[in-house]
Amino acid sequence: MAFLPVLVVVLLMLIFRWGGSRAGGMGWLTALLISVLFFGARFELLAVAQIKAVLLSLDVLYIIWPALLLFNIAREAGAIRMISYALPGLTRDRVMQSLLIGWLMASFLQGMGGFGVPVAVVAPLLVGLGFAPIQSVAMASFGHGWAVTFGSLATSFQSLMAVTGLPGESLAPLTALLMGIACFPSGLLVALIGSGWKGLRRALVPVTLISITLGVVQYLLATNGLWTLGATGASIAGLLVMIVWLRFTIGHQEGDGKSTIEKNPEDTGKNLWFSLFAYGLLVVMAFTVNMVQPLNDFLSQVSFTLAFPETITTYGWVTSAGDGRVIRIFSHPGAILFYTCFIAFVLYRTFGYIKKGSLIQIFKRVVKSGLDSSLGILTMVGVASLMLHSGMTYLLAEGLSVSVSPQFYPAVAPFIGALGAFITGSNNNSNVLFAVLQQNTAELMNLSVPLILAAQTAGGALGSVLAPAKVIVGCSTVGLSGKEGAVMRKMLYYGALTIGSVALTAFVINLIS
Amino acid sequence: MSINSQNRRIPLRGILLAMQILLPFVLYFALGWQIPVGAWAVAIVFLVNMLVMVGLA
Repeated sequence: MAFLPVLVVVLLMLIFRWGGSRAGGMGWLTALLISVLFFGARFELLAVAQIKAVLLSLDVLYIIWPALLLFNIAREAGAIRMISYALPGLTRDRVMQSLLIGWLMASFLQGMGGFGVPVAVVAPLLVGLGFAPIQSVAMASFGHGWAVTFGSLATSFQSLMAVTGLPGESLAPLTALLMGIACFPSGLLVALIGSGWKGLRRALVPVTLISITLGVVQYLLATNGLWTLGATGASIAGLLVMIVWLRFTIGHQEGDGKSTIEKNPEDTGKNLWFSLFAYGLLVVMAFTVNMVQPLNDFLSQVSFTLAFPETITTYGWVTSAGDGRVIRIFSHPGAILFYTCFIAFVLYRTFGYIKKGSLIQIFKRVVKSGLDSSLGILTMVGVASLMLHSGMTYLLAEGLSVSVSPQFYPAVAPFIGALGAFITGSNNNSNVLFAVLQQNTAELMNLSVPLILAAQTAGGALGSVLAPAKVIVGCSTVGLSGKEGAVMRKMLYYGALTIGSVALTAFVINLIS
Repeated sequence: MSINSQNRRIPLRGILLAMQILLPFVLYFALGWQIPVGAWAVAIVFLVNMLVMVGLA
């Protein structure tokens, strides 16, 4: 019975192809009925669970909406098109092109925007360069898998913190380590899918070099409180290393510095670096607000939270009283994004990168992409909160703890995270749905909670690229609509390898610690 | 589904989203100020809101 709400979400999304918000809503109604009929939940408990769910959701939505706004402002200024013109011109070497675009550009886009944008933008670019549509979707998908947790300005990581109540400082090191390990198979898979075993052998040295760069930069950013920039910063560093690599190797000799993609007339006279200014500014703003302590203290003065009473089911499951998620209105990552959006828009507009009247178009795009994901998050967080407060999550964790050996659980945890992401279409929703379950299981098994949660979100990140919702987006951009099943079958095999690599790492870390 | 009908759904989804966020806060204050009838009324509206969302294709 405790698993039924999750099962309902799984079945509706996978078999009946319902969207996240609708399936989440049905899951919520199921959780509501089961918690009342079988777990002794009363009105006050249900109300508290739902109010807490909204507070947790707001913490995440406060990032998603301005992140979408920033992405659309930069897109309107021509940033994505300018990158598309510049990158293919760096080399004609197919292996290097696949790494540059399918791996690094997709990761950079995940860092900035996410929400299916990397596949939607990169897959058609790869097709334009001559890769087959199925190859292109698979390369773009696997290429950015490592960047999902700290990408989209770390919304998935933010959810992990929100639902588990653990600080980012304790979760970041192991999460960044596992995501860093995932860089290597992500890069190799892009080369393998794009150019076969021969390409894989040629890519080995640059992929190793760049993976180390990506992993180290992401680790340093995430463990120093800058997790919102983890994937973006790492991708920029990776791109720079790749460009340097191309200058000193065969890739450069074969490149002519000219793009193979035709330029849009409205981009004439635009500068690549200025079109990317918004993200540079974000880096500066995030560093400033997080690192300059007096400024941080000043901006953190206004905060919002609610106090909740103790709740108890008729069977005696107690959730203690306490404050909900604290949202620091002016120093929150979402606020930093809003400041950046404002300054970037004014400057783009002043220098003519954004035309007059474009703001309405930008808002329309933001609303269109933000509404569904917001409803999905609210309902999924609602399911997770109801399950948590009525004791369902604990019961499931107890079941898992007796059916899987503690020694092997760290290797199982990423697959649970991946399942959640596969079902719900996002790492974020997977964390909301399963993170507390994993946390409880780790506590019952006496395992390291940060390790199991890192394995959860790493599995969720790598599993999210296999999700039907994302594959459908990719397929629709390269003319493969209706052939999603074939693409997914091809991808599942490779996906098991990437998730397996993280599972093995988590298993080894648990053994040696 | 046509683009027009998708666009028509955006305001409805916007209303649903606003209700999903605001109603629990109203519920919180209704409980805090000990107005049980008000709390139940808000809870029922929230439930209806969720049912509408689930029914939305």
